Amino acid sequence: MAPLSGASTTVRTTSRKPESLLEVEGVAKQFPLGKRGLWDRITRKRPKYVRAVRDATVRVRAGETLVVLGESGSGKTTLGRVIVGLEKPESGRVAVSGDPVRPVRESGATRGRLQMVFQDPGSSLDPFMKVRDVVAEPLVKSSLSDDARTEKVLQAINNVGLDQSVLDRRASELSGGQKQRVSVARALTSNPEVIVLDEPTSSIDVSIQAQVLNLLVDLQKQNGYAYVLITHDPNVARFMADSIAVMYLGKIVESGQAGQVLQQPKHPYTQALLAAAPKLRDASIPDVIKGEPPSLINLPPGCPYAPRCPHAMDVCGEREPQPYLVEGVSVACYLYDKDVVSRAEPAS
Amino acid sequence: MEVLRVEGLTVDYKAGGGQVHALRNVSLTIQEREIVGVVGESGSGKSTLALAVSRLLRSPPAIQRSGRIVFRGSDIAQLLPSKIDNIRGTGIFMVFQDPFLSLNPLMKVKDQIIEAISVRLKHDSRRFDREEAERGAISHLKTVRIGDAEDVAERYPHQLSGGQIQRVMLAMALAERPQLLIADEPTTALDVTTQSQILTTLKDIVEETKMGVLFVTHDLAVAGVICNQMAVLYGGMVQEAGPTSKILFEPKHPYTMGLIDSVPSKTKEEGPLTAIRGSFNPAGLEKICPFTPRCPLARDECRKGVPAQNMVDGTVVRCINYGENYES
Amino acid sequence: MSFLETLKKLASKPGPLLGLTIVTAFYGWSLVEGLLQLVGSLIHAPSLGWILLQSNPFTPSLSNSLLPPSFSHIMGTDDLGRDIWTRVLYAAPTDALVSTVVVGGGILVGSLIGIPAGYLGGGVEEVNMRFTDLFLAFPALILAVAIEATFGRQLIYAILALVIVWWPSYARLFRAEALRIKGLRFIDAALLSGLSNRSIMARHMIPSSLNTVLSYATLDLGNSILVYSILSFLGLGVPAPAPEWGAMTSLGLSYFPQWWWYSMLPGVVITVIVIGAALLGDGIRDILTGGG
Repeated sequence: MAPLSGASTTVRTTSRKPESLLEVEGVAKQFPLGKRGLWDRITRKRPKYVRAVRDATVRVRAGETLVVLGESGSGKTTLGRVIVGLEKPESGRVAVSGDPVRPVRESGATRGRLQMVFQDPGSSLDPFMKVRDVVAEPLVKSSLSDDARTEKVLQAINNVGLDQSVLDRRASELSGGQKQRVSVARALTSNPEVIVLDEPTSSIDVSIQAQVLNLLVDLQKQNGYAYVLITHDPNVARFMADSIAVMYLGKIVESGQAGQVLQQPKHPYTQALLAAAPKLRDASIPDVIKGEPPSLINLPPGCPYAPRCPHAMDVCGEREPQPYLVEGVSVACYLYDKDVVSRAEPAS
Repeated sequence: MEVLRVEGLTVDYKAGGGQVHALRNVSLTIQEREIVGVVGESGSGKSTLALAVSRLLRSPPAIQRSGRIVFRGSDIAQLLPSKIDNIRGTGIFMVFQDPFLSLNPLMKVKDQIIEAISVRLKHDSRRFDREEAERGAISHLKTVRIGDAEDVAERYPHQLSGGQIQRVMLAMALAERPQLLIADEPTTALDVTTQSQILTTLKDIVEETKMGVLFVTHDLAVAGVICNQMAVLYGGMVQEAGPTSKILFEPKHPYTMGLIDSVPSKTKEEGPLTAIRGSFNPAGLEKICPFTPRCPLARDECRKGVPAQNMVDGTVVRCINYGENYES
Repeated sequence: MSFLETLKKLASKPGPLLGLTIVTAFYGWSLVEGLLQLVGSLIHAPSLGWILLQSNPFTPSLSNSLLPPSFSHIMGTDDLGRDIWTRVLYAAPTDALVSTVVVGGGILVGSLIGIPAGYLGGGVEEVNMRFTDLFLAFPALILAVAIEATFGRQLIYAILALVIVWWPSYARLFRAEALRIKGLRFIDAALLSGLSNRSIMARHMIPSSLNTVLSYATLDLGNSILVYSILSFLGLGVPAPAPEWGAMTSLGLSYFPQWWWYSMLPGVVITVIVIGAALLGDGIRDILTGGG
């Protein structure tokens, strides 16, 4: 298709390319700790940083789901926010269909193409707004007519399985499950290519969770969205994921096809995490990890998991391992570096 | 030996213009060294139950209509507030969901455990020795597996992680040696790896202190891992109750079955999750089985009245499909 | 929750219901009476102002001087024989106007300064809040004296002085609210929708923060009446012979305690309205934090 004269140089065709739709490469994001007052500036005190995400690289194809699996402090939420542009990374790049993702306050080619569904239904919607205005918000800056907007809102509400009577109610009047559906509807109206979902079902009842997960799968099949689903729940990961990236303290420690990562976890943290989740109908309490995760502010040198890892070797405490490709899965662990393993003595 | 017996507890809330039935005719017992799980989703009444047993319900708006809460042989539902203080701590101890609301932010961890120890000593009419109490506090912290116990003891609550605070609460439970521990979603706010540590610790101290535990949770898997007995609540009523293995492996009530199926246990390629349709809405459910609008096995008989409980194969079930009797 | 539902909820408890009644009666009456006085002065027919009243609040009747409260004079008469209740009613619109303008002005200026401070942070916050601190330090009475000494004794200057000292508290309130709301997820969603900062502040910050500020503002209506009454008590309000609650209380002091009604009863009226506003404000706060 030849571009129309005078139009923007990027033309989107209706067919999805088979290569990655979303590309995240080498993303790093840190936050300064505390406020720097005048005195700190005068004494040139070095600010402390929380290094929330370090060197994250993932790819997601259209119509597929990447699950980012991790616990609190893993950096998964920050990564999600960087992907949609709510945070600006210190380094690395994020691109959707080749177009770089700009931070939200800057105008750019990617507005509306990435959307996010948040964890807490209570704060996801402005309690004083009517549902129809909430769902229509992504269209505020578009050039659509009023009728076209109403049409899209109606469609989105229907797609998430809500009756249109909900449109005239205030967001505060809805139940948790309904709020999450409205949240999803809002994410759909701008016809995004990528939807980041940050723990979308963690704050709602498990019986409603099943409904919402089924809905998300259906929507993806119909519209070809690429999902980045952030969760701490391995069961949700198992159901939703095509590929999985496991995060610990800001690093992606293991990533690959969902089946492989879940059935044959290679990184010791992945193994511990999967083992620790209580399984229905299995009365043993898994008790595999000792100790507490260290703080993100004073990260020890080397692999972040080393202090708690049963297989830690000397080298693990010296340098962070780079990812190794093992049977199609990327693992950042010296256990998979043949040279290291043959040379090293296990640390006691 | 029986630690707690709840008999026919019915609690209403005044809300809006009318009444909401938060709990209806709820009964359960807890023996020593037994962990009894109360499992339910939002609107099930499980938090009300935890608050009622610990006498922390604000009344109004809550009103207890009927029933008894028998602890140490007497009905504590009738006790005056002044007498309740005698029971809290050494009799009944509570661990809450939000760790950061549990401890006094102005006191060091060590001092809070020492305070718990002194309460226990006073209750037992024993002498309080500061040094001995300090050693005891450190020892309790070690028992609950807090790393660097001496260090942590000198810290303030805001310097601890959620998991550490829950462990401190368990250390205080060790110090007070209550007969009954009420744990209201104690691990919900914690990471899965921390959660498994806390659950193991809880099991250990139950063994050591022989206390009974009322464990309230929405997470069926967690209940399955730690509870000996379970009661499934829906619409304020116990729908199914019995030994954990029976409930999880041979569920009888359609809600229990639906809840078990809702936990994702397959990949999306294998088909959609079996979801319970709809959501809980208390309106119009007072005189029928509350699960009827969402139940895949609902029949006309379900609307004839509130089903009574039947004992079926070692489990208590409240469902027409197991016997057509109704509550008066 | 809609307006009607809020009203119903307020009316369901005795305290807020009383407050609502008092406040509605006061402002309702003031609106009607105030319009009559305004129209009357515009068309040079001042008698319009006392059409609804028992008598002309200005005409002295020395033979009726200092009569105690009775059926014909509910609050008695003042030293010039004028019916006090009539003068109280005639003076009501002044206080109603002052309280509305002062609190309204406080909210307006306070939100314009406080919301950007909280939401945008950084330099804007520093500048706005230091500016606010400056004004927070002004004492209302001294400022009023200074302004009126410079520009003359008129209602408008008293109001001006009050607005100047009133808005800083609201600026702080709005800033705190903006800080709180900023962290809520729907703001992130708005950013993702491409809304500009100004749109976000207008669409989201203002409604949410107004909610909290409203209950404080209702209470504040009473406060502003109280402070204005003090100003007028000190002679800084509307000059005589126009009746004014605070001024009447002040004048009546010379006749206290033998002719106690002159000073006390207008004071009682002020107190009742302040309490009414407090009860209403409490009721609104309970609804907004409890139910809603």
